[in-house]
Amino acid sequence: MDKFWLYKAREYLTKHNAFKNVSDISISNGRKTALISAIVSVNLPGKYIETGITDIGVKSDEKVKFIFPESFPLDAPKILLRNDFPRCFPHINPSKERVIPCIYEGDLSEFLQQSEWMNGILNQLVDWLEKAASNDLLSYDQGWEPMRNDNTAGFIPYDTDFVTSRLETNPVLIKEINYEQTDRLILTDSLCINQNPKKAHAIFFMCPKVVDQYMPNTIRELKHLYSYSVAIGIQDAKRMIEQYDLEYINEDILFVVFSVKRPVNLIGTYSNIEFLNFVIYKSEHRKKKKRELKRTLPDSRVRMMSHLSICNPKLFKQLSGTQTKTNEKKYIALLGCGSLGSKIGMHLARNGNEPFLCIDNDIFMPHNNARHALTLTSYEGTT
Amino acid sequence: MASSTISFLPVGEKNGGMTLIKLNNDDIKTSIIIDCSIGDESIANHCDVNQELRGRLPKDSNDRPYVDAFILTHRHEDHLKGFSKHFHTGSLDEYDDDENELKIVIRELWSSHNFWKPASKNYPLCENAKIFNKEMKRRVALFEKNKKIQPEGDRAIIIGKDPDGKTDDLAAINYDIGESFSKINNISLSTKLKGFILGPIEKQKDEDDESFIDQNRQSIVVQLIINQGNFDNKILMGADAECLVWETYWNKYKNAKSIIEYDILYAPHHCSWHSLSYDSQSDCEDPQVCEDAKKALSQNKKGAYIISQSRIIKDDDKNPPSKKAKDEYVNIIGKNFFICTNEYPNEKKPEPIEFNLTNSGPQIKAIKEKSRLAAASYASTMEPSPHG
Repeated sequence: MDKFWLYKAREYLTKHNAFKNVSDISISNGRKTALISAIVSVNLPGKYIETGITDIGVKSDEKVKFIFPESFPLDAPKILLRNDFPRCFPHINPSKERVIPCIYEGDLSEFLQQSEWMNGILNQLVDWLEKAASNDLLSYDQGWEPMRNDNTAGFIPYDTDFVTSRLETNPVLIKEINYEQTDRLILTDSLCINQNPKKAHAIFFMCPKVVDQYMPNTIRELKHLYSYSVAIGIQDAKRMIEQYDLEYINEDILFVVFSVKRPVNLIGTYSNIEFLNFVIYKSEHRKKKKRELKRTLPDSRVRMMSHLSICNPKLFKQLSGTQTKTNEKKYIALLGCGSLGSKIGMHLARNGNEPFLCIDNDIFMPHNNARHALTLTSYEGTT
Repeated sequence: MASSTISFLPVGEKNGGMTLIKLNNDDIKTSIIIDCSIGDESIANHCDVNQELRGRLPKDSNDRPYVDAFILTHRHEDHLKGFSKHFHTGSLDEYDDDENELKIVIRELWSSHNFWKPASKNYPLCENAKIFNKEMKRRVALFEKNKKIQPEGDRAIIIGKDPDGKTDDLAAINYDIGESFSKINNISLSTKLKGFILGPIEKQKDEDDESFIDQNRQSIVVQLIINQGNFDNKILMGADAECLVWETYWNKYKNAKSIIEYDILYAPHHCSWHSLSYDSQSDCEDPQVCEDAKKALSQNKKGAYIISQSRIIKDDDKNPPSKKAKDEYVNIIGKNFFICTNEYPNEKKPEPIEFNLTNSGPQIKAIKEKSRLAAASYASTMEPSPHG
């Protein structure tokens, strides 16, 4: 490890007005990392200063650890808070035990290339802790941070527009889902690799109100899911889950999706609706009890799934960053679909434009495969 | 969501007043400056208040720095220092975009009705006050001429009723004492801001003319309630109001204390002894605190702060600021909650005192460490980057 830069970093820590009790540099030989710990003096809102701790549990003296990689100062140190730091905040990196604050939306190493150097990172950390102290980490200017999922169970693709429009007229929506289970993940519908996927059902609920309370995922069992659904205003989730559990008694799992309206758009999206996806392992519990139970019990295991947008023109428009409005339809007539025209058409389609009218007065000849955007799936070779 | 902020800037050797409030109301961002005190020298050879102020100001579509409202509490030089040098006066058509340092546009100018009153031997006015009054008259004349709210940059608000009836036809741009408001720059901010105009109060019984027309006596005193989530951050801007005014408030509002309640109190008249007592500190053997005035200044909420925008407070006979007055304030809220601008975070390197007005009340913002490489960097005014 380069001691020179570590000493420099420690010097920045000792001279920063918000840091105190800066430890010596301790190098772990085997893992080629260096550790410095320090105390951050966090400004609490006035009413908490006397007790030194906020109602949520942020202290006026917070211990932090900086773990410097061997590549420092090309790469930034990793920052750890105490293990019992409240996890109920947004902008914490998904992790099972350690609390890693996500103090910058980009790569922390960027600060080391700017004139503030370590001070950029330290200022950012102090600001993060200050906002935690006033429970102000969620910035509406930036957007709504989706529910943190420290441990995903798998992926579930569906068309959010379709689901949203159906839920506006019906309180719930039931959908058959194909899935397969690998060692670690559940893959559904178009993601399935296997030829014979299993069948299960998904129940979609819409939350009747705007929910502006951030909460990381703490749902582990069905009873947690029931109480969370009531807290966000979905009253009949329990009844519906029990009903469809019985209806599809032979299926092993049941998917549950809550559509939750947030006060602002989700970070990086054009929608203020967050979809929370859960999977209930309903058969597991029955097996454990070794007898056939009439219904799924509240201690059934529940995990969270990640939603994927399905492949449609709207997604392409969003990703390509074109100025066209996502729901605006334009008919495109492509005159000339040869070597050049086919590629123009292909890129327009990949930018989310449809439908097309393709006009060409020629026919596709074998040698056109060399240049045309479309190619034949097989050709006569020499093998 | 992001909080609103209030910043108290350090002031020069002769005291001064300059407070910047930035309201964060979803899409509408509003900046309000209360008085200005921008000298040519940096404070304690360290804090360049001009840069600290400008770094915090928004810019309009023409790239001009602006404030939505400039509220002048009263016409003393220490509350108007640098006004004509740094703020644009006159029509925006005459704005000079080629100046080295652009002037700050004032979208709406607030003043007590005293701007009509000309300078005289018994009523001297500093140069900046005359320029301010002229600008105020220009703006009010536009309203009188067109009988409608002026365009941005020409707007004006008059506080208090003019004794000669000049405000009678100006109801749309006039707030009387005891009225509340939630508009800034003609935009309603009713979910974010509620202001209550406490002063300048009318002439009291037994009060002589000389006392009544005194500039400090005529100070605009306001309570600003800035909402965040479920919390009302109450800010009591005491201006340079003195003992009689505070004593009067206590007698007027002792049964409606929420009107003089605060999370942050701007200690009146740069922590002057005369805001708490009728007795002279230097002439009187045992100067007594006026209990009613002190009660009016003691309506602090839990975790409230008192800010003395003044020189360093020394234990001497100079007043303001007064050590004796500071002791009274510390007695009200505790020593950790009393801060003098020029002593924060220390006397040698004063920095603006900036609060986030959060959903748990005011929270001091940490001082950003500046770059040690670039000499001219004003990190303390930079907004933090978004969190990931």
